[in-house]
Amino acid sequence: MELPALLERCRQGDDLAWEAFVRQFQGRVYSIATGYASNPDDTRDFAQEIFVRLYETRGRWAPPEVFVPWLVKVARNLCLDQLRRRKARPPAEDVLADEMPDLAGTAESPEAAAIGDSRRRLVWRALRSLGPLSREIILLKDIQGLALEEIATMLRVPLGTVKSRSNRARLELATRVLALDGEARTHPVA
Amino acid sequence: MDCRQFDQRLDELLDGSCAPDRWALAAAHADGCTRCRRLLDAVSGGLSKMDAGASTALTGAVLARTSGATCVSARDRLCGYVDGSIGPVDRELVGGHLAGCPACRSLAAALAEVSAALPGFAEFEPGPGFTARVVGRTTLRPAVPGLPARVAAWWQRAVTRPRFPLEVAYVLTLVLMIAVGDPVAAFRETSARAAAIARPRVEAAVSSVVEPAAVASSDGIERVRSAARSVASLGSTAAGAGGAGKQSVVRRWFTVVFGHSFDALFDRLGETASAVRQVWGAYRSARARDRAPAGPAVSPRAGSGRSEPGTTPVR
Repeated sequence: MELPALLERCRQGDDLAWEAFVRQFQGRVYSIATGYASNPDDTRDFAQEIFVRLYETRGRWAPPEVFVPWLVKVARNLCLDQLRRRKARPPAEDVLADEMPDLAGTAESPEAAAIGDSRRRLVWRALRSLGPLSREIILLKDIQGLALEEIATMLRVPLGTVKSRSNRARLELATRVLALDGEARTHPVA
Repeated sequence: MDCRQFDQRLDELLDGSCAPDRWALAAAHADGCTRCRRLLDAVSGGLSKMDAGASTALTGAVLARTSGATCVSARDRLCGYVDGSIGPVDRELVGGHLAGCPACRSLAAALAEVSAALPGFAEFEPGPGFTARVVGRTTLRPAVPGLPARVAAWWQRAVTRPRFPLEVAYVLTLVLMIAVGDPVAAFRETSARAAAIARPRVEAAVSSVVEPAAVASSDGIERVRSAARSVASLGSTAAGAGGAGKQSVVRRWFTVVFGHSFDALFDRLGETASAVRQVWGAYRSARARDRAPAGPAVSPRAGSGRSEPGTTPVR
């Protein structure tokens, strides 16, 4: 079903349309929640809360042409609200990516299953080890595909700052990947 | 051909004026002459060929003594190089740097890997049961209506409450006060105006009561006193006729009833009447003085010598 029709059906209260909406966007919402939550349980909670809030406000959704950026923004804000409510810090400061079994270990969490092969997992670990701002910019721009202008508006920073920080964050991520790669070659996992 | 002729042919070759057949003879000489062979290699560059390591080291040494390392400049443009968003000149420059800089080349490779991997993280399947949990948590919840609908619902609840009329009256009063101003201002001078209107009437009422009372008390005291004197004389007569005990009984009875003896009682009544007359006279004098500036002074006793009750003009 096309997105405009799906959104309209959801607005009208069609439960089946709502279920289809959840199926269509749960991967994206879960991915966003993963970027902010510190563990898989929090990720699931955050994602569910995002959908609950979306359902409660389904009469006030953004129009279809800007729905996905709007959804990303709403999901981000709700994740930050959840973090504030729990008085938690961004995960990179609380839990090291290496200490997270779902990312570093072999547990088949949704993230681990989605990350797949070892190279992608290496990139994911490097991403989780970044600082909050760099990680968020990469999450919004390179992962969720938001425009720089949208990110600047969302983060309330100048456009030029977003551009420069985006390049810096990607370089930092690449540097982390090289470092982790070097560690993996030096100390291969048995 | 000797070596001197070879040198001439080589000069012609470098000038571009040497015919191929003439150069063929020179080349044949170079094949047999070590000196001319080395010279030919030097000119053609074969002798100066360096390995890649030596070339990189030389470039690094030159840069260190001139502009400094260029890795920072290259990394500033590395994201654009990987994304293909920089111009051809910059692309060629960065490519040239990467060819001679293994560190930046590795970083570029990592950056390309990262750029390719990141979009794949846009969606994670949250696992089985997630959709069912979300749908179970949401379909029982009513949707939050929009602002107009919420305002309408609030108004509907508000108007059906019993205290709504009181609240409306309160709000309207506040609005009126804000719009009109101080509602008490119109009544602020009322007491002074009312006092000005009521004072003459009060004075007339007082004079209508007090003056007759004073007159009546004066007359009454005289009458009582004469009656007492009659009683006393009657008692004396009775006592003289052998009824002294009865006079004593009457006087004793008055004393018990009024708490005073006859004489003391009448003396006090007389003092009270004279005091009332003095007070009334002082009041009339004071009133006459108060009225004097507004018109000619009029003696309170002028005319008939006494104001009649109810005749005082009312303003």
